[in-house]
Amino acid sequence: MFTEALESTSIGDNRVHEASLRRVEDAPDVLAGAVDAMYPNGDPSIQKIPAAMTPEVTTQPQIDRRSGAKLVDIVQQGEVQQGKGITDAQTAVEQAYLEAPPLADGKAVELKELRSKRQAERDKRDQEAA
Amino acid sequence: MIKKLLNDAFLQMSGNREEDRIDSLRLGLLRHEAQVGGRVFGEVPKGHKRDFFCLDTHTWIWHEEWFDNSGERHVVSTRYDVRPDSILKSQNGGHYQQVTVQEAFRLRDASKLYRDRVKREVYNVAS
Repeated sequence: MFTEALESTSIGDNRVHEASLRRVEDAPDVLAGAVDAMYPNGDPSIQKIPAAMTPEVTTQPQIDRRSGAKLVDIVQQGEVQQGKGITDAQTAVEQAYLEAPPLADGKAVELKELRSKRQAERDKRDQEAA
Repeated sequence: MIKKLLNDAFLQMSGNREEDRIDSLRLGLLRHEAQVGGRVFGEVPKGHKRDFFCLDTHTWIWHEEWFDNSGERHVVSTRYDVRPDSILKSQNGGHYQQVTVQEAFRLRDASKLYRDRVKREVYNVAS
């Protein structure tokens, strides 16, 4: 093994050994410095989720204050599940809302009325637009 | 007079021998580093010979040799020159060109692996 041959060395050999080790230790830092200077914001080829598409980070289930419905935790660690955009996230929230477990009678009625009212408003807007 | 000349010649030869020995040691270290460095990028394909090493703190060398199916020998020697704010490469002594983004980041990662492995396998120093 080469390292065994290095064990019996003269002062000159030790200097060569130390200089070579210093080169091996320093060269990657010099290279990394050049890469940092070229790309100060990191690798631009790695696609990042734009800020506008990054929902608020939360790990706790969201509860609708009015109805008490569980909106489920669709956001994990700053990324929309399955890498989908904000539109899909909103759809997922609405879906989770509709699939929420049964509520207490009074609230369920209130929620049903609210949905009907919103649907009527949407229908009216669609008719006016047409 | 003759004795003095012989003495001087002997001292000079001794000095040359010492320089040669140190050069040989330096070269031996580089060769061993190059072998270890050649494995940094994964398994070397059968029939290929790959060397990768830093010649100095600003120069990296990737040398690869192989024979194709027709038995023809191929040699690609790539030299990377690291500047403060750029990395240039030249293949087989050709003109210099800027490395791509991907190549720059891979080279950076490879150099760190090279340091860890060479320190451990050549210089017997823990990283």
